[in-house]
Amino acid sequence: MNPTDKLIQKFQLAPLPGNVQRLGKLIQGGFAQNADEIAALIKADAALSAQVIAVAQRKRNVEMEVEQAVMRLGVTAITLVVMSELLMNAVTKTFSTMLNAPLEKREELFEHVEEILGSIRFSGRASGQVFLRVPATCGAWMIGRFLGEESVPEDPTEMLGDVVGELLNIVAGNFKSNLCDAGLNCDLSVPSIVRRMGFKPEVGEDQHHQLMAFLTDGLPVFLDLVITPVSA
Amino acid sequence: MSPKILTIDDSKMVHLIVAKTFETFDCQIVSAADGALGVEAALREKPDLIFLDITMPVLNGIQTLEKIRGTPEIAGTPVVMLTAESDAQRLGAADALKVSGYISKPFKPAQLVELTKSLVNLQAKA
Repeated sequence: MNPTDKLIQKFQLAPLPGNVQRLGKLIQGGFAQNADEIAALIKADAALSAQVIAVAQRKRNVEMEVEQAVMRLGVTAITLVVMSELLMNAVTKTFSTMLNAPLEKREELFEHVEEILGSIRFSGRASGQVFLRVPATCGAWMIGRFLGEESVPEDPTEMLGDVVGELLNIVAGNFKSNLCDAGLNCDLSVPSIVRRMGFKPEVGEDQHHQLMAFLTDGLPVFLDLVITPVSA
Repeated sequence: MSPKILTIDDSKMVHLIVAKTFETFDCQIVSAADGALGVEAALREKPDLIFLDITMPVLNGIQTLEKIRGTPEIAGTPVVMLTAESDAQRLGAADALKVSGYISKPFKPAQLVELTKSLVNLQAKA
C-alpha cells in the first residue's frame, strides 16, 4: 500500500475517485500514448465513456464508439473531459451531502434571472476559475437546507452569499485535491461573491469554457469551469 | 466538566453548522475566523479539541497547525482537520503535525459527533 493510501485508510477517508488515477495516467503518458491505450483507460468507466462520446458527437453528430471518439478529440480534449467529470462529481456530492439536494444534470436551463455568483481561482500546473451560480431568490430554500428551516432569517439575502461561498469552497477544494493527486499541483484563492445578472465568464483565446447546468427541487444551479488546457 | 471545542474556519456557515450539531450536547463551542485569530483563541480559551479548516486567509490551516504545535501552552491540543482539501500533500503535512483526525468536506454532522466522542468526554445535555 502506498503512503497516501495508508493515510486515507488511517483517517477513514473515501478512496480516490477512479477518474483521478485516469487523469494522472493521461498527464503522465501524454502524447506518447496511442489512441487504443487512451480508449482502454476511458472504457473502464461507463459514465466517462458516455461523456467522451457525447463531447465527440457535438463536433460530428454520428454514432461512434469510444475508440473513434478518442481519435476525434485527441488527448488534450479528453483530459478536459476527465477534469469536467471530476468537477461535476464534486458539485453533485457537495449538494447531496451538505443540502440533501440531489442535482439533476440538464443540457439547457433558463438563465436570465438575478444570481448570486461565487468565483474561485486555481493556479499552478493547472490554472483557471470555477464559478457557482444560483438564483438570488433561493436564499430561504438554501439556508433552510443547510441549517434547518428554523435558522432562516427574515432577510436571507446576505446569508445566501455565505452559503454559496462555502459550497464553492467545498466544490473547488475537492476539485483542487483531485488535480493535485493527479499530478497537477495548484493552489486555490479565497472565493469572492457578487450579485449580478446575465453572467458570461471571460475566456481567453487559449482557454476552454464548460457550462454545467443542474436542477434541484425546481431551482437551477450553474457551474462554469474556465481552464487553460494542460499540455500533456 | 463540559469539553470546549474551538472551530477555526473563515466560513460563518461552518461555525453555524458546528454550533447546531453540538447544541444537544453538554459542551462549549467557540470560534475563530482565520488562523491567526485561531491561535489567539486557542491560547485564551484552552480548548479540549480544535476543528481546523485549511483554505483560510492570513494563515492557512497547515501554518496554523504549525503555530499550535510550536506553542507550548497549546501544543498538545487534539486537532481535527475539517477541510475540502484532502490531497496527498495536505494529508501528509497534517499527519506529520500529529492531527487526531481528518474530516473531508462535504461532511455530515454525525461525522463530527462520532469523531468528537472518540477524543473528548462528550455527553448529551441532561
